[in-house]
Amino acid sequence: MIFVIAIAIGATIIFGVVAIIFSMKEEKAIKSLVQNEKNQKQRLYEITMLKEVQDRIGYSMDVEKVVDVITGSLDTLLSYSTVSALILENDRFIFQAHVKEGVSKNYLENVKAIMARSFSEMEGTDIPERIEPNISGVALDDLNHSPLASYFNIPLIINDRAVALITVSSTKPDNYTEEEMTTLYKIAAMASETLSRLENILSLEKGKLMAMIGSLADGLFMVDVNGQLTVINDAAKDFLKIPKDNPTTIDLLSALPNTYDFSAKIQRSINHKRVIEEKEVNIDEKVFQIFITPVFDESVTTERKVIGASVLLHDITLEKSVSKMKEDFTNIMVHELRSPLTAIKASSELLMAPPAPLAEEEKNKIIGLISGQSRKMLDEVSLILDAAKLEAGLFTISKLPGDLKKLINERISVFAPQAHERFINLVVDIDPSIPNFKFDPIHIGQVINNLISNSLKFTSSGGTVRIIAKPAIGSVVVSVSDTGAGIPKDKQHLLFSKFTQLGGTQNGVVGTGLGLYIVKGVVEAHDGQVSLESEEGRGTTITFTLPLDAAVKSDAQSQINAAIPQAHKLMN
Amino acid sequence: MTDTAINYQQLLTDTLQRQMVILGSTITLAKAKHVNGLSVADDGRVTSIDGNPQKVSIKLLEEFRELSPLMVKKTMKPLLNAILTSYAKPGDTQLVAEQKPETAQQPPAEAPSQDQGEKS
Repeated sequence: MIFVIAIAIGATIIFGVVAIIFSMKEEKAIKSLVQNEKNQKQRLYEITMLKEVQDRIGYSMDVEKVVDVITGSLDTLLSYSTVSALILENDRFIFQAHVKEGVSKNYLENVKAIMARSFSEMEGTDIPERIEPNISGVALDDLNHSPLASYFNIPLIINDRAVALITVSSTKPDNYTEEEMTTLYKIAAMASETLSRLENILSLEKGKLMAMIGSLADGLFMVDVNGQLTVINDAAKDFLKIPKDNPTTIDLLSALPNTYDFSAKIQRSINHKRVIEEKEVNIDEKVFQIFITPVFDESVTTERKVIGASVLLHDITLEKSVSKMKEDFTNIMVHELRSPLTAIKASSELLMAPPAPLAEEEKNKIIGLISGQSRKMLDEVSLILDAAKLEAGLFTISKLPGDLKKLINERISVFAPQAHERFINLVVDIDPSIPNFKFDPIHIGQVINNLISNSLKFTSSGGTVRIIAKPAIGSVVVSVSDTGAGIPKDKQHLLFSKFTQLGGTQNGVVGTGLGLYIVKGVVEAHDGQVSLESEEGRGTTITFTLPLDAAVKSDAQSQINAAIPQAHKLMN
Repeated sequence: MTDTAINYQQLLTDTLQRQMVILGSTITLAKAKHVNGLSVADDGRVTSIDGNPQKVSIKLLEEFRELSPLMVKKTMKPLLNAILTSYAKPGDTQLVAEQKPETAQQPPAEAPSQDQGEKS
């Protein structure tokens, strides 16, 4: 009996132990299952969030969006009283708080202070004390005195810059497990890395774009919807005369002319989503054609969202001045051709139907006048033709062996009476050692005519016009100078342009403005060079060189070589 | 306690207390507690370092790196620099280059001449 009882007790004990073991194993298995389920849930949450963050970031550097994604689905992972975000956007802080449990205003102030300290510690800058919060969720409850008992901060960092901070907080102490917090940090880290990569790509692309914009001859700047300057190229800075380094919106606004309301036009372009074109706007001394174009955010596919406007400044000053020059030229030509034609018409009418019989001497005088005026007109027409040929690249010269000294003297003799009549000293210094060489006598004669005629035009009585011609190594140098008013520095570059009339002649004579353009063309056709020296109030010297041909060059060189010992002898 | 250990103790204390301000004390202390050989008080003060302080520091950096590599670069620079400097021996050009990319590498010193050798 005792034996049976012992066996029964033993069996019970064994059964009990086995039951306990099984029960412990079961409990462990359940715990493991629960833990696995929790891990799976966290993992699933992590994957979902990572995908959501990736999708939402797309190609936009919108930090607020990323913060929204992370804070918007926290419920799935953990419990909290508030989740807040401090976002740095365009040098401005935004504070957002989503209140899930009616905490007090003081509680929220504590959260903000913690976040400000954290941000300040990361960036080493002070955070403004007054940042208006943007609060969502349930209403604040000042009767709830529950303190801030647990929290953690998650920074969002883009390429070594903290751009946002998320703070999850609770009134319950020790509310967050390490696993929960780690999951959120990992999501934020992935978002930070994606944003950093995106910023690098955008920065690279922006660099390419800026290089392209920078190389434009047209001025270009862009403003955002708030009128803040975002991009400006060097040409625009030059046109508007604003600082090269980091110009501000204020620099831009103060440089724009008051006569043209840029801000209003830009705003209209943004509001109406259309291009505004201005045909002619004067800024300083220049004339611009202006295009104001709305800029759209291409990443938004549903609706074309305007993100700013670009302003293109196309400098049309030159076109305008060329157009004015052409207009002036036409007027001058009409005048220049009309005057001799009028004289010819009147003279021929007089010859055909004289009011009284004309004496032979009178007839000859009238015929001489007709001939002179016809020659003048022919010269003008030749000038126009030469200018047209030069422009078309069809201008040719016919070089013949000739004596430049003789040609210069001939031309001077034509102008001597005019100089004498106007009490202008004509000083001539022609080196007799200039050899004969090949040049186009007709066109070089025209060049000398033009230069002497111009100098006389701009010299007042009592002044001097000096013509110097001398040999140089491999060339002959001819200069014509006057003691006239001189040419302002800023206009000197225009002197050899077509149609240029700088004005201010001493005798009121108006020319076609083609003279010096043709001088340059003729000399360059001889492979020579034209240069100008001028000082306001002191006069102008125009010098041209004509190269000697090879045979003459060696002859001239030997003459120079022979002259050097003689010169030394004289000096000693 | 050696000088090195004292320096590291201070450096680690500074690092952890800074992390507590930036991230909060709960996560900072939780990560610090995973580091073998590192004893930390609730205020972030390192009370003792058991073992090689450099290795302990690296382990701590790895703990935070698990949270976010960018965050470690941004918020734990002094500790990172200390580790990099301590590992950058004269021959360790890779680490030196990481520290000072603009520094030109010095050419190897020429062997002393016979005379110099005799004198020395």
